[in-house]
Amino acid sequence: MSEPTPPKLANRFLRWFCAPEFIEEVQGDLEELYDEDLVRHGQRKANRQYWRNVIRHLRPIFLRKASIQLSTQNHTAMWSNYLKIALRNFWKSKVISSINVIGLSLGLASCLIVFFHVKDELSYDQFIENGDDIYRVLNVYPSYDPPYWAGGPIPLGPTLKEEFPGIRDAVRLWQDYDPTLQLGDKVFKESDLIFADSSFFQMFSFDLEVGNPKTVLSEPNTIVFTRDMVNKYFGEEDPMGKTIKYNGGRGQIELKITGIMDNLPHNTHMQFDFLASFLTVKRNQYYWGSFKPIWTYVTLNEGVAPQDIISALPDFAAKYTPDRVKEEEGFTFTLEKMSDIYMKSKAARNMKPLGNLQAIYVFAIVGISILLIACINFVNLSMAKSLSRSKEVGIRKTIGARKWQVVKQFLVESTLTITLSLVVAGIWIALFLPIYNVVTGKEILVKELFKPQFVGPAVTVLLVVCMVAGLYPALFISRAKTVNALKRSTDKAGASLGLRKAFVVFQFLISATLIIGILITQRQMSYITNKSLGVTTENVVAIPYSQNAQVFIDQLEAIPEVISYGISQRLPVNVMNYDGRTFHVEGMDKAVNAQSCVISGDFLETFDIEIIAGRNHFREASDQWEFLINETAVQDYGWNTPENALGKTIFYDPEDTVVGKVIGVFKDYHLESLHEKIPPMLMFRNAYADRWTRWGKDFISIKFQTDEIARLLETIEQKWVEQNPDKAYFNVLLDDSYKQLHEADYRFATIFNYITVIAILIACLGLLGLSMLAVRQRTKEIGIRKALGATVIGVSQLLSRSFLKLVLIGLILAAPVAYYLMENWLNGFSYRISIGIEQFIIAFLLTVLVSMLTIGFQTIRAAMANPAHSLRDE
Amino acid sequence: MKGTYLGEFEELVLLVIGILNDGAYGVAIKKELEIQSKRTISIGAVHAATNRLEQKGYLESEFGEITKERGGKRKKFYKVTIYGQRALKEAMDMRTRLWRQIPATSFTIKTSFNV
Repeated sequence: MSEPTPPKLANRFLRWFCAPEFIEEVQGDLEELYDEDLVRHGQRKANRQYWRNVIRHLRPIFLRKASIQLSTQNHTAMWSNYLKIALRNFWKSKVISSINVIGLSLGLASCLIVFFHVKDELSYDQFIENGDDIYRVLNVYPSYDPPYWAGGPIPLGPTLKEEFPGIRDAVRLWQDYDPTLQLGDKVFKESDLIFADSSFFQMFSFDLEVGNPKTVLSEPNTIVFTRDMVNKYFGEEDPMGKTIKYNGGRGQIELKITGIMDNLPHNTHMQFDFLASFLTVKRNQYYWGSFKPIWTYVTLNEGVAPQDIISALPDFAAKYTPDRVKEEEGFTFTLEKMSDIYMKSKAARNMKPLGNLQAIYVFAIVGISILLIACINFVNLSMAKSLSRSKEVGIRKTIGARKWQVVKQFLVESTLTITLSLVVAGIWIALFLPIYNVVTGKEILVKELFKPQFVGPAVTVLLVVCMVAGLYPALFISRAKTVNALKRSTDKAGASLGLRKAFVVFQFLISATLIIGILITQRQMSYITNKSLGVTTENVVAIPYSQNAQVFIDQLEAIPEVISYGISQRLPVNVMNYDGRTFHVEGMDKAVNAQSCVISGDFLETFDIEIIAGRNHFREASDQWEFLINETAVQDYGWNTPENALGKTIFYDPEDTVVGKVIGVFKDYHLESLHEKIPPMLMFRNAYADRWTRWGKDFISIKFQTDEIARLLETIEQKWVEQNPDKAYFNVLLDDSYKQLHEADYRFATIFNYITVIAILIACLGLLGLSMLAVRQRTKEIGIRKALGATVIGVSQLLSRSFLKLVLIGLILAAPVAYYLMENWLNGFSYRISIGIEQFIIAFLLTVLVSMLTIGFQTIRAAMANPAHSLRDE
Repeated sequence: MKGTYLGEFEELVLLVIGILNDGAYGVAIKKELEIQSKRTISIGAVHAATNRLEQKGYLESEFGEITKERGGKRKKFYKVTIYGQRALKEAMDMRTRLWRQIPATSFTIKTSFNV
């Protein structure tokens, strides 16, 4: 009903910039004009005109000059007074101050580490010059999961370069299967030895310490060592020009050392200790049939769009690999950007495990949330604390402090807390970093973390965030009217109380989400650990195959602890994966695929692989091929039941020499991590009588029963080395290798645990601080209540109830958030648990319990206090 | 000279305040100026000019009564001081002097000065 008035904000703005002596005149005239406009043009236009008029008064003559005059006062004295008061206040409320510092510093430290982690993960391969022009060639098998595989036939690289003028250069990298290097009496298994084309150092800008990047790899039988490997083999000696004996899939060769390169940085998707020249590899130079782990990289000429080349690759594939294309509908090659491999590649068969973009997002969000919780704490505590100082502010204002001076004073106090927290955060980081390194497998030193280019921006961002967090309580307290402040009326606090409550709810929303998160992660991890794999990995050790096999095996069988042994091409649940093949089976027109493994000895018994149909042994001394297949294969090949599968024929190789019948079906077991589905699998014995006799003889797996594993392993090693004096020995405990498959998951779970503990700790610290302050503010009320006959229980209930309500709201909101996030995470596993209600209930109880404990101590103490004490003061 | 300098707009404002006599306050000045000069004048410009002229000593001011209008704000009435009147007179005299010196053949329009 009231008359429309000029826009308030405009008036506020006017009062803000305009010197007081002009205000009455200006505002009066403006209002008069406003009333006229109102009649003539209506409210909207009048408002707009009013604003325009206000803005037209932004002239030097009207501006306030008071603040400029103030600057002549002695500021240093005021500043030192602020600092003094800040320090006194800090000491006066030691508990609250330390809660504040501990909470904030933990938040800062976790956020910094997460920030560093994310930055490091994103830095992979970014240092390689022109990395955006380098592409890796992938095979595409549309029916596989995943459909992309890194690696290709040997001639792929050079042929691509010839066929496509847009491709400037091609480099092939071939990782041999577990070769050994020998220098004098030093023999080591070196799985990270890679054969590379001569232009490697031109394509990838890795630095050579010694040697010419253009020629180091241009001769056959040459090798480049990394610095660490020079130290390992040569120590202080100069290795240049010396030769070393190589023993691997390419036979025995002498390699000449032509260069030394810096150790490979950790932040690249490549992994190698040695680079030998690809020219050394003479065999199969023109063979398109083998798809070994030969990674092919190409550089594109400037201005060439990768899409143009990708679209021409199906025809290219059909031209050079007609068989492959016939067998696998849609088979082709494709390109992926080298600099994106670590974060984004979906291809299988990489040099080393890749990063996970989703985990990065999770960590970034969690890191920011933790900082947010810590900042909320800080704001909450500062605001609550400042309430008890309203009298001080009132007096300051009465004596003549301006609003901005009060703000400044409180900012000095928060700056003090923040600076202290930063220092403490530095200490936390120094403590956390070793744990971080263990958990992530990285080697990041404290001094790397404190590099100026990292600390500079990070600390600036954090300081800005903290200053904003400090500004809010400062503005809040300084706004109080002098009279109210002196009256010590706290009704003003009501408005901000809503906000503080929202903060507490938010904190517990995050904490409870994390708690539910950990519970589900733990369940999935224990599911992984305890899942029946279909094979027994306990008490099985694998070692390389031996020369004089019969002699060695006789010796092995003589060891009483050895129960059984099996010889095989590959190992179950191990990163050294099976041999993927495409072939034909009886009753199917289309080619099928399977992971296959050549076995002999008591392989099935050693791993306790269960046979559900047919025979579990091959016919004695037979030159017939006989196959064992798994349940998945039975389904995939359309044979429906295991019994029905028996006797069916498998045409394993294109020349039809390896052809035989299915003699047994074994229960599905896991080859890879639980992220992967169990693929169709084949096992068979090498029935070649005269040739390829070593085929399928790569590992000896030994099942044992002993309490002294170390001693047994030593005995086995001794016997093995006797037979193979020039070879490198190693052993793989299958239990460990299963764990290795899930290393990333264990890592994720461990980091998650730490983060959650920190988040809960910070949230509880906040709750503790708030309840302490609440209790302090209500001392008198409690005193009166008790004097009037309230019980201890009644009073503590009264005090806890309001907090618990907030915690509960946070919990209820957390449930759907956590459910959504964890479903997402679990979907990354092919074999997973389902989320049950019990995790939510446990998290619920846990959070309530923790917060009760946090508040309980305070409230009970307050409730037990003698009312005479609290009522006496004043 | 610098101290007594009058801008064109300032001169107009002084003259209009003279015309308005006792009723010269911000809004009135603005309206009279708009009528006399046939152009739109912003209130901000008027306030800036009056206050600047007051600082120079050409104007003096006093507040009127508190009324219900204008949100209870008083009007600030301006009067041209003797000093201001003298400045106006000087400006006018200088112009007349200049006009008088223009030869009759120089301008094609008739003015009262070229007799």
